[in-house]
Amino acid sequence: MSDGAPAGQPLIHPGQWNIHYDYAVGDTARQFFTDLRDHARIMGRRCPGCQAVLVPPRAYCERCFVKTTDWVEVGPLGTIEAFTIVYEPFDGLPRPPYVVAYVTLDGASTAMANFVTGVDLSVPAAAAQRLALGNRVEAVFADPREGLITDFHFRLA
Amino acid sequence: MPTRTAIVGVGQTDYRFKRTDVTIQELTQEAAAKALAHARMEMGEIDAFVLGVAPDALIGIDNVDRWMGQALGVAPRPQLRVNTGGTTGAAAAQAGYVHVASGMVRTVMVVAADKVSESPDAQWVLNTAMDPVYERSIALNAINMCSFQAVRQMQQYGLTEHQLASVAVRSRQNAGANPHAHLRRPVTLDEVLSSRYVCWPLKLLDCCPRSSGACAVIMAAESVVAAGHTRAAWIRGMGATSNTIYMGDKMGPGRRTDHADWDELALAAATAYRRAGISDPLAQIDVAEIYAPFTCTEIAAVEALGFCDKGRGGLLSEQGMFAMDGPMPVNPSGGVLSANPISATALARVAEAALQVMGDAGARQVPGARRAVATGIGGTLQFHTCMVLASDM
Amino acid sequence: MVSQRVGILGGAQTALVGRRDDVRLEELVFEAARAALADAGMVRDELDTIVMAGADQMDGRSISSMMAACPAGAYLKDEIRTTVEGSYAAVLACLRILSGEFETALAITWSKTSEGPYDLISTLSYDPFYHRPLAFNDVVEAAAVASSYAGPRGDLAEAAPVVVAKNRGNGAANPRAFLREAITPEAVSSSRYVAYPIRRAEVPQACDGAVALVLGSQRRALRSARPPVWIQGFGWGTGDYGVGAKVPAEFGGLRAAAAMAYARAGIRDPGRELDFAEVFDGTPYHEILAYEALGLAAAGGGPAFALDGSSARGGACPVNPSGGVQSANLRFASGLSRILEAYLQLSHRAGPVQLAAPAQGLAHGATTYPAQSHAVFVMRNS
Repeated sequence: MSDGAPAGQPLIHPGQWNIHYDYAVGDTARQFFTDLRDHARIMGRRCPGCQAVLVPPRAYCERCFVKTTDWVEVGPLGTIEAFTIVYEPFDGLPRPPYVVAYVTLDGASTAMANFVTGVDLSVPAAAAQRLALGNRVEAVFADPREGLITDFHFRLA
Repeated sequence: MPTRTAIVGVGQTDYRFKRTDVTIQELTQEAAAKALAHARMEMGEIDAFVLGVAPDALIGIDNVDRWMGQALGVAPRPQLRVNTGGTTGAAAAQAGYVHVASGMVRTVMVVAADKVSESPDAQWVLNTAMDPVYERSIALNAINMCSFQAVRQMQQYGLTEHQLASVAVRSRQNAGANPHAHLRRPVTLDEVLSSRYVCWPLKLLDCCPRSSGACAVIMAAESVVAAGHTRAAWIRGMGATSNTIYMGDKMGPGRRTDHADWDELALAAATAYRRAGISDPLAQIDVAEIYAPFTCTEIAAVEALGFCDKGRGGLLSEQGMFAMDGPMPVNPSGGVLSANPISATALARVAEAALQVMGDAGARQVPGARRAVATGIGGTLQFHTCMVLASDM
Repeated sequence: MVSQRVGILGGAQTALVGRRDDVRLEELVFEAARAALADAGMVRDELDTIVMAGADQMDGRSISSMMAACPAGAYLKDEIRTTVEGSYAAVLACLRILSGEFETALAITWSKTSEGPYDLISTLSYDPFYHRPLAFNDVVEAAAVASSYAGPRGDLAEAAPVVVAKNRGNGAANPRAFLREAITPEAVSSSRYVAYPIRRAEVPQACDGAVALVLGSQRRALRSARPPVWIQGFGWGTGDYGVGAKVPAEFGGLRAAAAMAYARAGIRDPGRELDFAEVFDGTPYHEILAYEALGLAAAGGGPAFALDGSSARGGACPVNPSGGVQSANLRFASGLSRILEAYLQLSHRAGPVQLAAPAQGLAHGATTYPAQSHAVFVMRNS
């Protein structure tokens, strides 16, 4: 592949992308994060069309294509819908092992992702058993809280 | 009637982990030149270009399609880029198809390329595709979103790790006959089952590699085909369906589609099949090239494409239904598990399907293949595409 | 059956502001999609395909269509995304309708660059070996292009401030514009240089917003709720890459795009046959070069076309009666905004900036650099 070019070591130029963003979360998520930070509660939004309680809250329902209207408190108990145990290290992501799960909080129509703590992950099959779909978890709130999604996580109930 | 449109040329570089001997420009040229040679055409005969590039961050150049276009000598001709994540190459093929079918141009080159090895771990980049407000800091990425699918398949349908492993073994077996494939060494069931967990329940050998490489496909109108091409892969039908990014919406009691299944692909396939006149896919389709970057995703796809009932895919894979000599050969190329040049991955599925119905697939040719289906997936398993190609118009 | 031309059934643009903190990007997209459907008197179920234009780095999201698809109306529908520029959503939507595969399409785009470092992202668009180390960005390259044209041409520097004043004057009357204060040519000429010959007042402040159009096949448009505006012809083309390209000021991509659109629309003498044009005017130099590339003015006649008032409201061919990008710099979404403004003119709904009785107009969208892509639409209301 090196027509006319002498053989040799590849020449590599270093490069870096470091792009800072200031994401506006919007009024709907602002309310959600304020409730989470100040009152340690998790709120969903109800669609006036299909009546689904969307958690995390969306300002609109994608299916009915209308704005959502009411706030509904959900949880703190919930049910595991899916999970994984991450054993592999990835650049820029947490140090393994850790558990990420989707949980339907009581009163919600949809599941929400967060970390699950407190499970011994040294034996994958045994850990997976404890995290089986349908098992119950509860939201545990950090103290102090910063108005971020990591202000809470799940542990087995 | 739309202008009847066919693929008349396919070019692929070999897919490898690294290509330090060339830039992305030169990699693009390499595939384009091969496609032109295959079509016996020259660059001047191409009316328009569609470039497929998934996240620019994987290459490290924003709007890299513009630089790639320079290498193809596009200006001042039309060029349009498509980026729909994993589906990029397939969406680019669909965009290319409407260029010709609309009658606006007579020929179009669809090109996609990636040099994934030059960016940090792809999972970091793919994490930045997730909702920055609600989900990005939960470490979601392209592997664990498939793990969520696998655990639901296991629970709902009794899918086993052994069944998953059968997909990997078969893919790597097929890849041995494909000189372009990145991973060509066969693996055994034991090797797959004893490979380490990456994201439970998916193990290392359930996962695709990340590859560098390029793929180009030339499409032409019926009049062009008639004037100079003896072999053509006619685009007989296409479909695409998008769903929400929020995987949790496909899991809770309010779900309308399930993250375990690919009802979205079934919808896309229904559209493509209807246009192609396919009512019995198992009987009428000779070969399938399925975008399956993880073993569990192929199971969901064979079910959605109508090759078997929901929940049966794992067992049938284990029993050899999708082997080269089985009733429904799947991924003769070795599939995504054997090569994953992200931007080009879905286009490579279309390319392989075209080669099969053109009878140009070499050692991996499915004998007598006349109809092929190619699929793509992208996003949080939320974007699905389907295209039917045939040896006859 | 393949329809011969595509109709515009409705459209909308969100109110433009410098920074929208009350909505996240996806909510902005939803707002525009809903408004465009309402304008067309349609509901989401009637859409066959959603065609989006969005750019990952500007959006601060890799594969930003993942987040934007469903707020744009794509839940369990056909959807695709191009990353070129807002106007390319319309290009791809037209191709999809003309292919006979789809009867209706929503073309949608957005720009919320208040959240990220635009200049840095622009620099990251350059190849890492030959251009990026030299600190190029879109304004720097625009300056190089302008000077390559201005060199032998003294009247260009004189015309540029006049174009800015014209467009800002038009924009001052347009309730949909973002910058709504007129500016004099003298004030433009006395603002400092950003990159010679481009001055501060020639580079408009950006704003946040989203734009959407509902498009339909000829058959579908003939039974639309409000009278459609027809896309008689369209074309798109690509410019040479980078500053080293031989003659960047030739605007070859725009010439090719216009030739394609004119051929399809049957336009032979654009200066006479077009009643107005909405063109990309990211800097006034872009607009002046577009006069020539679009054939509104003869080669070399661009500056005079501005100086003699031909492109002003009331002139031979008013250009950017909306105020253009100079008054509403929606960055990535600017091209679809031009098409929307032309649509509103032709459906006599342009409000205070409405021209008397336009029958045929042109809309032009363009990317910035390197390698400028252009799209041209010729539109009629009968």
